[in-house]
Amino acid sequence: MQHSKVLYEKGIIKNRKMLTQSQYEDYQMACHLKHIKTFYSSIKAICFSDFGTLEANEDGILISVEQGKSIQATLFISAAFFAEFRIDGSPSFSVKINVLAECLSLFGLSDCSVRILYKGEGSPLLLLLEPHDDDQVSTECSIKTTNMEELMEYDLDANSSSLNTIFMRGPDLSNIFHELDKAADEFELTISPLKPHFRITTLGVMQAETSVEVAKSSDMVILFNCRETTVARYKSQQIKLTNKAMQVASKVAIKTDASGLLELHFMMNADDQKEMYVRYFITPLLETEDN
Amino acid sequence: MKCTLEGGNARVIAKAIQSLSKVGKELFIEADVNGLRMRSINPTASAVANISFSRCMFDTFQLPAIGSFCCKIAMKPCLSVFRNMKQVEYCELSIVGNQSKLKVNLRCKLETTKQAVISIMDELNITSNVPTDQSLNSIRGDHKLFMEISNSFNSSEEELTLEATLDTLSAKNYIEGARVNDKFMRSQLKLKHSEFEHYQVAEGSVVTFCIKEFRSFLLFAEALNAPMTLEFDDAGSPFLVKIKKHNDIECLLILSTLSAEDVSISDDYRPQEITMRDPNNTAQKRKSSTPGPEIQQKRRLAEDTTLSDLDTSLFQFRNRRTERPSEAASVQPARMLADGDTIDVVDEEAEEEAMLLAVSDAMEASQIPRPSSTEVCFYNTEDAPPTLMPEDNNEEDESIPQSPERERRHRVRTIFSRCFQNTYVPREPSPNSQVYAPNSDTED
Repeated sequence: MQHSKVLYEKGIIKNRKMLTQSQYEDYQMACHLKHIKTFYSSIKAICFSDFGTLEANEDGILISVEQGKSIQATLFISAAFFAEFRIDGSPSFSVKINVLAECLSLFGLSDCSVRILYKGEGSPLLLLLEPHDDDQVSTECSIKTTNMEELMEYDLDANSSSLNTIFMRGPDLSNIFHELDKAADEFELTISPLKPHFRITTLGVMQAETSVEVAKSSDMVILFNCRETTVARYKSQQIKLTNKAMQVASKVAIKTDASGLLELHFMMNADDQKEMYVRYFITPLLETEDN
Repeated sequence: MKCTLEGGNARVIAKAIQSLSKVGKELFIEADVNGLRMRSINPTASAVANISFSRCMFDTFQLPAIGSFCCKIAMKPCLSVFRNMKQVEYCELSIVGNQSKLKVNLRCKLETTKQAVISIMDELNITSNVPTDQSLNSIRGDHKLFMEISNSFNSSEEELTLEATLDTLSAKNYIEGARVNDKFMRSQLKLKHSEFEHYQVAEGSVVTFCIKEFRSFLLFAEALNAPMTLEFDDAGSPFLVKIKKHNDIECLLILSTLSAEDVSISDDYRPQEITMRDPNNTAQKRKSSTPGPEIQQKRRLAEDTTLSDLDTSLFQFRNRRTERPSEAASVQPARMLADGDTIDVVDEEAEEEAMLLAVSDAMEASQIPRPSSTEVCFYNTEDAPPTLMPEDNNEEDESIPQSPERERRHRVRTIFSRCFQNTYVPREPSPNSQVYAPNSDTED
């Protein structure tokens, strides 16, 4: 890399893009992102487990994190999001997610561009960070990879009679969740075509039961498609894992059906209107006998 | 019972609950034909806060058939419901579940509704037999003024002493004559009577009360942008803080004050627990060997007599009499005093008692304040007492005369033997703990 850069500065190589191509032709994955801000905040949002899985194909990159088979978060970055995206085959591997996040934050708050490189099976994941405001500095991180662990396949049947879909404004929903009682053990989510249309009840707090209701005609609801009433309970601790993503999301899609499996899509907007998505699957708490 | 109010008034109620939450852990709600009342009492029963909202603050107000209603609920769930009130447009309070639960329904913007159902603990109510209109002294001022007073003191301070004379109010974090450790920094703020909207002090008095509840009430006064009125008699009598806004909101905070006997004999510097119902009680007598009753009496007399008229010079001589290790380093004699022990002070005090008694007799007879003569009493040793007039404060600070020699050491030791023991005596309960049963120990 040094070699190419020197050549470039000397004016021998004119095309900056050639730096990548010449160096990393045999790499399975090589992509370049001009601004890491959205990428970094999305990675931070899904950092709730040690290891994450990275899968890449010609459509883009998926980074998934799971905890205990009951919650799964996936970050989707489409190929169009990147300034450059070159892929060979379908590489997949596991890395430590918090290490990845820390490497991305090496330059602190200043915005950087990053090159993500992966040679092949067994090689480390390479991150080359260059801050925009300082040409003289750059950093190269090499993160060890392991074989990919199998992920749970969650799926909500799109044809289910009880599939409910709600689209909401991100900041408003974030406020609602933020104001829920933090001491509560469980949250109960009710979605219904009748009133209350959308309700979150906190359970497990002594002496008090609180709930928040949003009418379907509210301004914060962008789309309300409800076929049947669904009621399900979730561990508040797992819902809290979505907080970080919710805070930066511009739009949120909530999908669930009679099984209770909750699918949350958070849309994050980069400054230049490009989008990336984080999708969460959260399994419900089963009804206990004494209910 | 059911009542509704619109957003702005609901925010006021939320602020009231936030203030009351700093006083006690439970909220007492009472509703009758006049309106809604919220009360809280602190764990040591030394402060009772009462905030009343008149009926006209509510859009609708329905009482049960018996005409009144009261209940007690835990403060914590209330706080969490009323925490974020910015989006609230409408609030409804009702009793549901066959008188067992309080339902709070908040309608917010964007068609969001927040609801909380809080269990009612029981139907007790607190009453206080403290007369609220009979205080001798009354001071009213803007909340900003009291906020300034409060901010002048460290937030970790536990109590505040107000010394009111005919034309000035001093706010201090210490009690005159109290012995404190070397690291203690004393602060004093003096305000002229003209700073206040209304200043009426019939006779000078010194009251000491817990500042925590005072501050929480002050917060509410600030939220209401209303003036605060302080009403009090003297040490030991209840201290009342009143806030009134437009005849709609009336607030009363009753604080207990240190009674005069507890002042300055204590070697660690803590207030006693004083019950609300008996403003004139003598609280728990310390088991330590306090000076004999006659000396105590003399001390009290000293306070009573020397408080009036001699405001500024009073402060001065207190200064010199007690140690001031935290004063400017230039004051060398004071530091020596601190190092050496308090024997000198104590020595002086013993002398002072006798002197003051004589002086007070003389004063009563002549009714003329004689600052120079009292000053002379203290500094009867080597130094010629400076020609003191109350205005010479600054000069006196710099040229504090040499303190008297150590004399009569043995006498002091016998009387004040408690001072030479450990400060903390495990058997004495902390003032903040609840007394579950009176002490049956017959030590004193």
